[in-house]
Amino acid sequence: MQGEALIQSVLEDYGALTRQALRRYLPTMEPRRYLYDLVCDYPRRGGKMMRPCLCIATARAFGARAEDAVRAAVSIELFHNALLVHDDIHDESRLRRGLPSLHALHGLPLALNAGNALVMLSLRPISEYRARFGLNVTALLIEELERMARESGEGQALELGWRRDNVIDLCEADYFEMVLKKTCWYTTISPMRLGAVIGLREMLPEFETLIRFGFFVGTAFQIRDDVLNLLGDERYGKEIHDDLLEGKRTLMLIHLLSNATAQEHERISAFLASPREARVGEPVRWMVERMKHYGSIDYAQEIANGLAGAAFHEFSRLFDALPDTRDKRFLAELVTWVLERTS
Amino acid sequence: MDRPRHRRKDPQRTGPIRNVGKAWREAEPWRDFAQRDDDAASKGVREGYRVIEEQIRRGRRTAQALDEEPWNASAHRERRRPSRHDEEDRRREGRGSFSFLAAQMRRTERLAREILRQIGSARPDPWRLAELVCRLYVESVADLAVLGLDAMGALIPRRGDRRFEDDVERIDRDIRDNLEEIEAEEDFEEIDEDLAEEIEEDFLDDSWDWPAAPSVPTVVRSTVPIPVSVWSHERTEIDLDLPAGSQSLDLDIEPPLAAGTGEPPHPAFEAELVAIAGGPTILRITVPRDLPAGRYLRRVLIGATGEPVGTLTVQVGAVPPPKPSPGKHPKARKKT
Repeated sequence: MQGEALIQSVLEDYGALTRQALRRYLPTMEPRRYLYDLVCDYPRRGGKMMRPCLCIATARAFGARAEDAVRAAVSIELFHNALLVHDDIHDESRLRRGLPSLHALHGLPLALNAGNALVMLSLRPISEYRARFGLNVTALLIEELERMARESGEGQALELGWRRDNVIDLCEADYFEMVLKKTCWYTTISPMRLGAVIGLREMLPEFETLIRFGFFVGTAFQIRDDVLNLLGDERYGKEIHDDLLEGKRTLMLIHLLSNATAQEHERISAFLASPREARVGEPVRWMVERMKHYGSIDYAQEIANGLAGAAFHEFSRLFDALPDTRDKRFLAELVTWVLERTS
Repeated sequence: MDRPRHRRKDPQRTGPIRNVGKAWREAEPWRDFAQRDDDAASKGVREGYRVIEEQIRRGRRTAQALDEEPWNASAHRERRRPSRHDEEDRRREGRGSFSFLAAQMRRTERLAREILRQIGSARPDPWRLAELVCRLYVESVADLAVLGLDAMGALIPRRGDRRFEDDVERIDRDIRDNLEEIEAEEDFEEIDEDLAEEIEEDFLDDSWDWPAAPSVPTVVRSTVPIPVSVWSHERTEIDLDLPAGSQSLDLDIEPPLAAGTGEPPHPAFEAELVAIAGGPTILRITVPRDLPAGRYLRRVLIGATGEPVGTLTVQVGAVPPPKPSPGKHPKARKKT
């Protein structure tokens, strides 16, 4: 089995395993109406479970059993759901996984509080490793989780700050740094590093290669996501042009800004400075048309392809030494999958 | 006396290069990418490597700084978890609680010996003797208290722990049940225990040949003090060959402080990093003959950013008058 079929099979297997375990950590006690019902809402809506699967697959590639990695996978998923709650508030999103967002359902203060509770809950499964692996390994896992949370917070702050201050003099390096922090740490880097530590009960200096691999594959994933947001069809599953409506600084936008004429530059700046409600209809169509005109979308896709190549290089540096297993093949196939995915 | 004077050959080089960073930068693939007419993919990869290496370096510094915090000293010692094999070895050797007892006994023994030495000496110092006896008393009481508390801790069951363990066991059972269903699927691969063992041995074996780091520099790993002491009355040149790969270190040595207008120049030693083409980098320190005794500091900086990463210290001792006996040189001390 290989390609898309392998990816889907692993996502289903480890996704189901994580989902089942996740239920054990969702509180059913009081106060349910104002807290725990909200806390359980997003995790019960499902999702691809890519992050937990990456963690379990990496742990198994390094010789651990799947059950050893499930707790770390649950911690990552709970943290991811916490970020989704906060993200929806930051972006004023009305929908999440096809249903109204948490703050749309319950108001901002309660949703915010539920998001915070999810962050705290994410510590519970990982702290249980002390019963199995002892305090030292548990400390390594918690340190990694702490770094993941810190980097994600920094990345989110960068993006929100740029949007608030209408920062437009950005370059590719700025975008890479923001994506590394905001997306890669919690989507690819930490899930794999947690898995590797579970496999070897040790944080080796060589696991820095996982930072590089995770960065390249995670950034390619994010760029593909940004491209799909502009060009996606019905399979995409999210609102098309959402990123433009939210004023997100994507690679395409940075490329457009660096190629636009002075007049166009001014118009783009005004578009980004306007309130979200005003960024609809004709101005959005004009932005997409200009991006196509200047080849910004092809440019971003080309960069994503290049990063995928670098990801393969970094993958082979660490994983070539490991035996050929379904999990190792899954991690390798992931690189191609992020570029070819349509949803 | 007629022997020809031994002269060291001049190093093979194209010429002194004061800023080793320049030599390194020429070999950098991403520094000059802006000038290249690259395709988007290559440009993206170069820029990507630049960003990720910078982030890894920052992360390493932060981790290093946390390790060096005084409150974290014990955590630092335990940061690198010993492998399972080390733990087994230790268990076999019977270390653990008994090693604590042994350490206490050694300390007590040292104190007792010191007390006996004081008593047996020709002129015992009563204050020193009193201090030693007090220390012996305090340490004994403290040790007994620690041992007593440890024993109590081991005997008294902690309520929270039992509940925690029950929870963990229950969730473990659930996970195993769910896993059985998944493992029953056709395409699921079981982890082979022998294979797992083999992977662990491969990765934890220090002699394992890790793939080479990418060409993008990872700069300074950590600051390691390298003390070098030289006793010489003659003018001496010290060359330290830095390890292989040091050509890629983009380091500069900060120039000495400039004197104010009309003031005499501050005394200083000379230091430079010399890159030998295809060879190691040499740190060359020259101490002028008339440099007054004292401790001289120069900061080592990252060439590109000017960020300090270490200190070069030269300590010059007072030069005693030369002894008349032939063949022995009076001492001048330089310490780097």
